[in-house]
Amino acid sequence: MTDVIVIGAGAGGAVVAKELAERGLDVLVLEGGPHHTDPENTWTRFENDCTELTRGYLRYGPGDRSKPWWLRETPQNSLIWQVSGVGGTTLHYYGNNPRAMAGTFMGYDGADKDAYDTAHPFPFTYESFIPYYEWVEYTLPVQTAAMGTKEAVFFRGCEGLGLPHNASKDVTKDSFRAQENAILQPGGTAGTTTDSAELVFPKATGCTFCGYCFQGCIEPRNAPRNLKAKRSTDNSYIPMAMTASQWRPGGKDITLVPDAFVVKILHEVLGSETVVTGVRWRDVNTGDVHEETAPVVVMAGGCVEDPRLWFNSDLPNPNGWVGKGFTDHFFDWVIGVFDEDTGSSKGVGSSARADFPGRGGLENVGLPPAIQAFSTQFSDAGIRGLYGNGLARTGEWDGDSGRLSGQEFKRIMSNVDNLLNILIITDDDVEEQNHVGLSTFPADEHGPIPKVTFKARNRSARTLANREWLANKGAELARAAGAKEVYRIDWPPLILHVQSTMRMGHSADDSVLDETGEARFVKGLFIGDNAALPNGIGGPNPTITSQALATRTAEFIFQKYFDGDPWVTTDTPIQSIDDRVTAAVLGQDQPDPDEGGGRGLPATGAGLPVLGGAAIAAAAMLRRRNGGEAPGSPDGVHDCTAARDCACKHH
Amino acid sequence: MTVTLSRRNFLARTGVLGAMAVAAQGGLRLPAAHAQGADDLLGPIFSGLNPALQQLGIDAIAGLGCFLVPGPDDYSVQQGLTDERPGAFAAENHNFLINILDFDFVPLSDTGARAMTQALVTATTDIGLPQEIIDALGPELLGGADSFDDLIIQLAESDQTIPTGLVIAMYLNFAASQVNPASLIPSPFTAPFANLTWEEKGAALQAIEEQHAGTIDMLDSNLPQPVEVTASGLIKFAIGALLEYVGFGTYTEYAMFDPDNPMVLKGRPVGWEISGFKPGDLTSGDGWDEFIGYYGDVQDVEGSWQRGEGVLSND
Repeated sequence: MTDVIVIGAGAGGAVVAKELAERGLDVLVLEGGPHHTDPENTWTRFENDCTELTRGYLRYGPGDRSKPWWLRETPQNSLIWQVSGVGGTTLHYYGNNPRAMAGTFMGYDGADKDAYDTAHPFPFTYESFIPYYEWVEYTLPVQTAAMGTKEAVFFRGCEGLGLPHNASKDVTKDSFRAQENAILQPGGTAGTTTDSAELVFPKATGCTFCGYCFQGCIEPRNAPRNLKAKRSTDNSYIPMAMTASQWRPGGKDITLVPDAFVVKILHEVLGSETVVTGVRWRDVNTGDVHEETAPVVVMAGGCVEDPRLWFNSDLPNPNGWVGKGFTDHFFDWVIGVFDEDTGSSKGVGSSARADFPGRGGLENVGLPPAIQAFSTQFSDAGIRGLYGNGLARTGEWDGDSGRLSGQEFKRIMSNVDNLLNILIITDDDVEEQNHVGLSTFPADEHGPIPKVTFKARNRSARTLANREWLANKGAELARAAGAKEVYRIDWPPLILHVQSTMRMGHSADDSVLDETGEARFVKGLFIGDNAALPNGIGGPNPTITSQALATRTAEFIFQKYFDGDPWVTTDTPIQSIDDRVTAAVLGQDQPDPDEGGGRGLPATGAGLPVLGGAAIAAAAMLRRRNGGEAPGSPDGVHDCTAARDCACKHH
Repeated sequence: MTVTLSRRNFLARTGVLGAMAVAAQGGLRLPAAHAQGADDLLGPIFSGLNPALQQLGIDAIAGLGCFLVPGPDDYSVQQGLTDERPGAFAAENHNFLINILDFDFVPLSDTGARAMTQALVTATTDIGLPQEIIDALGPELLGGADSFDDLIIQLAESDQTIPTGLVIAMYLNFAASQVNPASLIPSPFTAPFANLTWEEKGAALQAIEEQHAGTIDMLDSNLPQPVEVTASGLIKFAIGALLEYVGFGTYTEYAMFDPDNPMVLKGRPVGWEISGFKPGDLTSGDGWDEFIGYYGDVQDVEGSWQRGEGVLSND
């Protein structure tokens, strides 16, 4: 018997685990995929070796790559891009952490209030949710992203369109900005050299602009795991959760079991209620089956696996909404071709975005060549110039939409650093037709497999209109940035931003979770990942919102089942890059707070205040929580004298 | 089992008959029609045919690769669209793709493969095959074709796994036969798809991908529920994935990757060369001198909602 079982160590499960471990609970985390404990020496970052869906080291499958991936049926042209393992799909992500559109929350009363999916709002207000954003933004930390060449090109396009710059974490009007990224910004030699010998911690701190966000972050080399640039949960929340007893008085380290695939939620019927009692899981390597009991189970296996596990566990589904309402931002893709360097294969995957409340957003995306080529072939609109598969469209781009082929394709790919990719991120509607069910294909070793259905061509009128508007806007942006040619690919569903298959809602008629994140039909069972989101959050990348919601859910768990008090509005968070965490990760003695410990400096003896940007972000949050007053000197958090290009107000 | 014209059409239209012709020229002799103990012959016959069937798969996939990324290779020459710089074939995309397909990228083993193969057989029923094509393939093979036809149908109905790469190749070839029946004559390549012109390949892909072209509809109409939508969806998924993976595979390090020395490539990948990626490098590298600064020198933003600026202010 343990206090809480968390299923999945990805973006959301890791957050619930860390928060409850910090409160001193016994937390067992079962992750179906592997734990990459030495990525610096095992991850090549070569695209086939890493990102190829069936056999790459970042795939949805067992860690033993001689075994097949875990199949999910997709009865349409589409791809699910999910990663199993500690860190989950944050191993792939670019660390983009924009907050949700306020208009997707209950009680929103802006002039544009009717522009959103008004039938499926968050069951609480945006204002009430902000402290949870701040908690996660501080913990990761989230920072305003630096520019590389491709960002400068994107911003030039935004300026050309006459969009205003948004210098805020919240979006209040059509505007552009640097991404708010969970990536430690460059310090020392990072971003200034291609010499690997110089890009070693602590000479280099934060992002080295290597261009491999999608392949998992190992930079800078020699940095402690919690000081790797990208704040995927394998670098942030999981190291914290595994060492909670060392950096938080009263905390308790989680028990993390990788290669442990949960195959059933155990439950019993007590009176009129179904109550969770534990889980059954299978050792992926040995095939041995185990059971563990707990009064609280948190499902966080992702938008596809959560419903699958629910169905395979024979849990009740009286309103039929388990697995339904899948939102995916119905991506599309616009490529600008330039006769100048765009730096597309270099730097953070994306550090620039434009937001359009009620429509969605655009962001730049830099890619190495294979995934770049993939992105130009991933289409539902046939092959440009040959056939359109019933979809070829004209607009602000050149000619018809569709795949590129032959000499045109090869010419456009002839210099990957002359391209500017723009991802169309649609504010899409919750619709029952887009859903996860069970496949008729043969079951795998973990039971019947999921079937993920998207009716891409039959989505709501608002979703389709938003997508068309954004595709045209993206093409205009590329043109304004100086693109000589602009292409629209018209992607089929790329199921990467995933939301709302176990949605939280204010109505018991069309939601699986109540407003605390607990399943309406199974007591003690919570959802702690993107699946719990009530909607597509208006288009922003969902991770920070999922993590803030997971933090909120952890608070409710602690209050309801463990008689605890909430902490987010009363306590001070500890950053994942805090000296105390670093010392714990390195197995060192805890630093003396009287000698600078806890300031976000590397606990390596180097003494370099290298994480200035992170400290700045931290200071902003602490200032606000202290009524606008800085808590110390000069701001109590960072030594800005050594933070290159520090933009703080103190000098 | 009665051998019918439709089944012979199936063999021809999927390129298998052409592969048999190539194998026969190499000395392979098929058993007489309706041989006793056909089940026992499945393994040996497939072993004998295997090189030709493998070539059938390679040809079809290589023909697809050069459609998207042409080069100076023979497959590109055949399609009438070449490029002086190396393309998919030089990048060994065909090997990359077949390896993936046979590694269950597309779940055609068991239920899927059997359903699709049976559907292909049925789908060819009503499509006549020009006599001159049959004549060109060699009448002396037809007796063998009959028996092989039986065997492949039995295989489709058995628990044995048909290599997914072969099934996909058969689909490409089937579509090729619709666009240009003359492509069935196995010259210069075994696979009909590889014998098409570039424009004809586009038409074949259109026939596969567009529902109104009938190929996928034929599949669905010949399959029982609940496999129906699954099978057609699988085709859409598989063909989409094929094209995407040609692009992906061509531009990866695949052919230059050494599992025994994984951090350093054996040489410059074709895809890196033709995309200008990391000029001169054989490793992934650790960083770029790309840092410019912060837009508007803004490095520190807070939320605006708390300042009472939360309500949308678009004009």
